[in-house]
Amino acid sequence: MLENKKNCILYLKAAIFLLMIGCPAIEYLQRQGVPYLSRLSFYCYFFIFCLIRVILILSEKDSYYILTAVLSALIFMLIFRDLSLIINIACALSLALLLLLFMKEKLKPYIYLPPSMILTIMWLQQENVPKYIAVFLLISCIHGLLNLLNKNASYYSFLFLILCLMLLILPSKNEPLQWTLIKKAGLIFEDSIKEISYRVQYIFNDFGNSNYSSYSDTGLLSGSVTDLKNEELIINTSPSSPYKYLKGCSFLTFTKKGLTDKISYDKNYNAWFIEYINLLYQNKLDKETVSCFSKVNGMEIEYRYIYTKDLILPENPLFIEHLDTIHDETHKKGFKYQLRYMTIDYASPYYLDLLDKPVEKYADYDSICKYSDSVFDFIMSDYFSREYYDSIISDRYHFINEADKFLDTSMLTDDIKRLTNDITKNCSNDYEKAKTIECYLHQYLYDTDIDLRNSDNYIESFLFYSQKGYCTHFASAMTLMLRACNIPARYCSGYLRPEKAEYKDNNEKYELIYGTYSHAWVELYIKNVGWIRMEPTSCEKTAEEMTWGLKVSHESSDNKKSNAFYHGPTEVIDNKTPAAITPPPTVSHSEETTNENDKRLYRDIIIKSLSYTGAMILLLLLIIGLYRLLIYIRYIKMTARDKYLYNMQHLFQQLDKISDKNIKKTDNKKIVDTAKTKDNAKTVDTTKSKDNTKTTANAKAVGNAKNEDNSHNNSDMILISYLDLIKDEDERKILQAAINNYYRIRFRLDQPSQKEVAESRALFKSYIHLAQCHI
Amino acid sequence: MKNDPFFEKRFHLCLNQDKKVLRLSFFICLLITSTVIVSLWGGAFSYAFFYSLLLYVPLSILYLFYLSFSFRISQELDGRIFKKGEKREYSIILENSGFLPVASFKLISSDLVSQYKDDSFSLDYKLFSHESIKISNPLSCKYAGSYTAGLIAISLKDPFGLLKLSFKIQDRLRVHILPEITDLAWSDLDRIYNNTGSYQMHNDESFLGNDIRKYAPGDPVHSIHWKNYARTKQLFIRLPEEKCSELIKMVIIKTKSGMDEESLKRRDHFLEYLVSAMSYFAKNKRPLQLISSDPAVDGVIIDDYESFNKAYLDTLQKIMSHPVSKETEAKTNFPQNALVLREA
Repeated sequence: MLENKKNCILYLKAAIFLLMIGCPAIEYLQRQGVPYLSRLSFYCYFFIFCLIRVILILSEKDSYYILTAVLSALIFMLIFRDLSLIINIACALSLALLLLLFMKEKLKPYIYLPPSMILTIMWLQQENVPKYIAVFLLISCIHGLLNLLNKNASYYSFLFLILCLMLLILPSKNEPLQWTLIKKAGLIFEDSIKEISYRVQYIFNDFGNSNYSSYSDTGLLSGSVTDLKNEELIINTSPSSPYKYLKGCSFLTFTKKGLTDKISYDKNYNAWFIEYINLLYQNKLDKETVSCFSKVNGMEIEYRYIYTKDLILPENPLFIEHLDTIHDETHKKGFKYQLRYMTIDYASPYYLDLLDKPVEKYADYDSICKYSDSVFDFIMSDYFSREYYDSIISDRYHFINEADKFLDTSMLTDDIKRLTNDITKNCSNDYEKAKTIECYLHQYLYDTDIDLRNSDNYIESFLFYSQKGYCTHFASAMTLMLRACNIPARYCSGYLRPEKAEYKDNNEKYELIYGTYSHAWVELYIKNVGWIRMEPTSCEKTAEEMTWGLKVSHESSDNKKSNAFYHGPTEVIDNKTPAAITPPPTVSHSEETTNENDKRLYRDIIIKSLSYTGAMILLLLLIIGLYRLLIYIRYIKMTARDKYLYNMQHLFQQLDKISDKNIKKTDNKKIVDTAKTKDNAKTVDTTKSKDNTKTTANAKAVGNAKNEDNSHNNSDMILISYLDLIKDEDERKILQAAINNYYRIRFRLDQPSQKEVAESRALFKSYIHLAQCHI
Repeated sequence: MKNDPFFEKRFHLCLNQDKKVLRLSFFICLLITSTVIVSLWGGAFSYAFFYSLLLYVPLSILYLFYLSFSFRISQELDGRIFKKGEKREYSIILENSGFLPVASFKLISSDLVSQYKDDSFSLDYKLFSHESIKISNPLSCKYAGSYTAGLIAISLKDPFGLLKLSFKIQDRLRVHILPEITDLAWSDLDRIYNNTGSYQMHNDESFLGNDIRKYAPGDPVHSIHWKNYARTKQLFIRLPEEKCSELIKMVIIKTKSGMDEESLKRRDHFLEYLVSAMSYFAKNKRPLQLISSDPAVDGVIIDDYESFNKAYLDTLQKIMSHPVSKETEAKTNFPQNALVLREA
């Protein structure tokens, strides 16, 4: 009975696999337009013929199958007498009879594969192949191949049926696979690697002479600066947004090592607007005029690979959303916030006019709100509460007191004071003084490859000796010079947006801010006007060079047709800088400078090559040290027996080295002696050499055998072989004792004592030295 | 065998070692081809080809593990205690209780210790669902000792022979193989006890010592100290010297050793030597006391063939089954001046 059941299952399984070939064949014929073929009736009749066979197998009348099947087919044909059905019945019968061939053990290996492959090739030429056809043909091919390779293939059929079902469930498309998940995973992996590398780089940035350019929240002076494109921020804003500067922090005090007493954003971060709006209100500027130099925009800032507690903000922030959720902690990657800010064109003539008309009296909250709503596209009361406004204006000297904090002149020297006075002697007001100093500093060279950390006063060194530097030096110098003139000035650290921005995934909405954009600049306070930005760095554009150049339309004679204002030519601002003022003369002439530059170049090359070599050696030593440490830790973790065996095996290795050296010596000696003493001497030396070689070969053979064989003969051989290498009698005795001990422990499975382990270690170490001496 | 990782865990899945590189390279080539095709063109064929290769390995692993749980195995052996080299009737009944047929599986036996009449263990077998087979093959063991003999594990392969899963069977045959009785130790013992003069192997049981006590009714007449009676006119009995001077103690230290050939040979030699020593004392009818940290063995005395037979069949099995750990050995107080027989 079990045999019948087994035969039935094997038969049905074969029928299924035959159908996997039959289905695509019928489908293909239908596509080719062969008439009368109907898939449904074909499958039905094939199923009936299979059922007949199963019944016959179970009733052990299998031999009558062909007769029964043919008779049944004839009966069906006679009953229906329909040409289409007759053709389908005939096809089903032929397939059922073909199945008998497929069941033959001898034919099985060869009969599945060819039709499957032929059909696969035929279907590959078709378009829009149904999934089930592809799966059926593929499984048929695999099954056919297995039949060819493995005689037990029919026992694996169920595995292929499961595979077939799974393939039918899984989705397939006409488009190529996009690997979205893999790509995402790859991006995540790349991101984490980047983050780790940036973090390591950030930690080690302060080591060595060179620093990578990145946002600095410490204010400490750094050495030469190397460009490295770290993605530090992503700015989500309109591409036409006019922001230029992103400020992270400013500093109060000058020290020898840089600036200290950092001031980051505080709760009064938007108090500046109260003074500014009062200035506009008092001067009764209308919306058009204000629009020529003030714009309100929105922005979203996302932190990438930047590790700071500071909140990076554009100039003149108005409102930071959800500020209460931002904590005073190092912000992680992905930290983002939205804000509104105002961009001011500090070179606009309308704005400059205001400098001469400072705020004399603060207006009340309602009037200011009304005015603000009329000139700007935001409602002031949304951002400034009455209480907040009143608390600020209640103290008439609030802004002045705040600004006076920025008057530290710790690093001011007589030379700097004198230079400042010389430059600004003709200036009538603070703004003029600032512009003069800015213009003066623009004559200095911009150079990132400079290190002023070793000087006593880096600002003085910059101004009088090196006369070149980068933004930190320019901004520090200008801040100190402004403070020397008793003008409150602050050194600001942040980013400067480049002329040509780069975007994330080429989406102009997401602007990338790299570490190379990090920058330092100066802000000075004009009494009752507010803070004004200055750009002392010589390679960067000043406010005048970046001015929007907007004028109110009714003032323009050429562009009256424009709606509110037009983009006119940049107005030339007379900054009243005395042309005669030049940097103090330096001692060197051009030739001397060239020589000095060459010297410096050579010195740099030597220093760099030395430092790289040193670093490489250190790295190598570190790797060796780590390797040694790992070996030592492994040794510590070993059991006493393993430790002992380890020591002894290494001792044998050392002895092998010594014996190798002896072979070489003997060979050399042989060559020399052969040359000298010809035949007789050669005979003698060859004998010696043979002896030695034999001895060493024995030693080696036993050295290898020490892990495998435990015969006492070998032990004796080791003793003789290794002991021959040792000349000193005492040493030989010690070694003999150690080898005897080794055999006792290695092959009699005795446990070594701690003393024995220590002794083996000492012996091994002493032979390391000996081997080195020999080598 | 000891170093083979297979014997440390129940399942061991690995690449089939037979033409491993060829099979693996072919599979990897196909996988790469399918990946390229699906990435460039798409379509039902490409996806089916790609998915089939991707799913093949995990599906095969699941399939092999399922089959490993479908086996029902029983082993029958005619007796568990028999002599080294003695042939015993052995049969294995394998049944596939799962609904998937099992193709091409192999039986793994401990060839190191067992020998079979024919090569039924090297053949490939297959089982249909709920089918069972019985494999009979007389078995003999090569070494004395207690160990696992017969079928240990079964290995299965996936259709294309890429992977191989071997799994240990749960109910294994533990056999106790008795060593042959030889005269291996006799020459050594002869040398110790007769030739060197350190101990005389004689049968004089009437040797009396010099200790005496007063005569009591019922005492044997031959034990009366007549010389003393002549001097004192009182009857004294000569006490026999302590038996301990005649009793030979043999400390047996059998350590736990591995299943590698070297260890098996060493154990075989140890047991043969022990049995030989026991037979020596039984033959000479001298009492031999076995000393061991195993309480079941400690104190057993062999002084004739009867006690030897008992020790051979019973005590020896205990010695084989319970190796002494180093710690136990260290704690045990062994008597001085005793023979020490250590497995080394």
